[in-house]
Amino acid sequence: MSSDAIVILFIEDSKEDLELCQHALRSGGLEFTSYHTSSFEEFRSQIRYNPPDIIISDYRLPEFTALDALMHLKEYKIDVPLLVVSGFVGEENAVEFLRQGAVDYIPKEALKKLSTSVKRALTEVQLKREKRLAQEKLEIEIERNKKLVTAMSEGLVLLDDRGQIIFTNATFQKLLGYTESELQSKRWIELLHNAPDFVPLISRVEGRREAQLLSKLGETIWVDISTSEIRINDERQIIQVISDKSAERENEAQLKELNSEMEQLIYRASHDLRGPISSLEGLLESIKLSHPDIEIEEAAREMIADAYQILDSLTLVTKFQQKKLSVETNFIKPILVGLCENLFAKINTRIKFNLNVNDVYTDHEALRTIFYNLLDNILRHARTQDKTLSISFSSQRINNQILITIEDNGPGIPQEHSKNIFKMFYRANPSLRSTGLGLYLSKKIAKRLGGDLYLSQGEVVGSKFILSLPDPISETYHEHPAFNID
Amino acid sequence: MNIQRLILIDDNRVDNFVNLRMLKAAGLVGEFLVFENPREAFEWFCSPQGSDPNTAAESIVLLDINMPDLSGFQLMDKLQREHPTGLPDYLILMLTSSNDLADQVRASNYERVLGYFHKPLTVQKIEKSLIPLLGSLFDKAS
Repeated sequence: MSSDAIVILFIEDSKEDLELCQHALRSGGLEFTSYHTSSFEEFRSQIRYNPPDIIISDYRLPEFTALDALMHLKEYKIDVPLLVVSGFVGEENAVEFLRQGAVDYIPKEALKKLSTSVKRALTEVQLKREKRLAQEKLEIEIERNKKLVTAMSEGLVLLDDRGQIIFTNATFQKLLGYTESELQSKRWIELLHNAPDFVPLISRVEGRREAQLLSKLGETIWVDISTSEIRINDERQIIQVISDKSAERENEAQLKELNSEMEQLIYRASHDLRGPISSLEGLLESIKLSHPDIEIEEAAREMIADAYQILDSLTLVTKFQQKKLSVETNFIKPILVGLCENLFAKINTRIKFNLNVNDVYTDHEALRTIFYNLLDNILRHARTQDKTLSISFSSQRINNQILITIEDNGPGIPQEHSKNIFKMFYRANPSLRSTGLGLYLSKKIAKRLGGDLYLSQGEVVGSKFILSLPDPISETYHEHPAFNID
Repeated sequence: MNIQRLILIDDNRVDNFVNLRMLKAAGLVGEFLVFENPREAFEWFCSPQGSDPNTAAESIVLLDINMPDLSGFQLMDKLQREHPTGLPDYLILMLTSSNDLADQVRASNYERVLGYFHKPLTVQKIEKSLIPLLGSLFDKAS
């Protein structure tokens, strides 16, 4: 109760009785201020503009009775307790007061009880008020949560620990085309496309995953599901937040189709163009028989060799996309030594190895193609320089990856080119004869192997390429193999 | 060298022209038959002339693999299946401009196919591989 003195409105026409009541209250230890009235009109306006904490009313006044006052409070929903103090009224009337909402009835002979009764009434009012406030707060909160859940762009599903649907929001109902009551009679597993045969009930299920749901019409819908657990009254419940991924999936599928068409095109072009080029080559041979001209012959031969090189690279571009990878243990050093002996036979070369990892578990042909392209690239650029070419190879294991580094002391790659060198048909030095496909292709193959190929920045001299491959020893490799061995 | 007949089957006129010149330049002599249409070649093989086993044994066939209507392999299959008296033993060499290993493997599945050439045919290729091959074949026969 507030520390302020309470305010009491007396409805009383006898000054004597009023003083008796006030005296009884003070002797009961109650501090209060009070005012009084005996006219109904005044009672009405006081109640409205100057409401007291409690009303103590005589039963019968010249203008009205305590019952009229009670009715008025009720009608205007005014929440002030009213206590009746009166001479003999009979049991019937007393019961009627209480029935109409009076907090108590005190006969004039028992005024000693008045202060206790007032205190009790005020405590009750206070409790009631607090309860109502809490209730209102709760209702506001419920209303807000309801609005939140309805307005969510994600679907929301609440399951019990046996997978029975307890609650769904409007977004989820709309996504699958079911009504709320239809969903509440279903188990979660019934909504899954490709439902697993066995669902462990006790396992923890928190996390994110992608899945396909079945709509009421039988369509499959790709969704992203984020699952978490809550405990309500010691019962486990599962919250699933569902976002629609079907549009994204569709785009992806379209892209994939386009991509595969492109690869088909490249594949066909790279094969079909060989025919006319080999015919040209034949014609060249046959011109040689009748009108030998070394200069023209060499120039034409060079062009034809270029054309074949482009076709070979294009064939490789599609080959490693479609080819089944055959994964095996590859020892890095012998592959590199073999390639270097082949490529750098004619120029002065110094080769250094610093291998912390000796073998990688990957597709041999793919790995060899990447190395070949990188070394071939080094060779082409080294030819523009007049010094001993030095190449160093190193390998190490970092963060579930094996990194193989190839560094040279060649002319290096100027900053402005470094962003583009992995692009298709990009040639950093146009005066060099190259297809502009080697590095593009190598990066593509590296990605197919679950790794990547990149250029290390900040080198003063030469270039430094780093090939990363998934490390089969690491645990994540086994959980999420980057390899797609299909 | 006892070559009676050289039969060139290629849908590409230029390739036939070049191959013919190369074979002649390499010193091969005999009757030259050129087909641009594999179906015409099929008709000829089925004729009495094409069915004679004696001349067949001394005839070389240069057969292109990649032809639109009927590929070299399809022509071989068709001849083995539909030849009225059974295809006599020609010396067959496949030609291709593809670098597809699968073609090479497939060619080796045919008993009568002696070898496999990447186009274009050059005098060097003929001198290096075809002539020694023919030499060894006919030496054994004689």
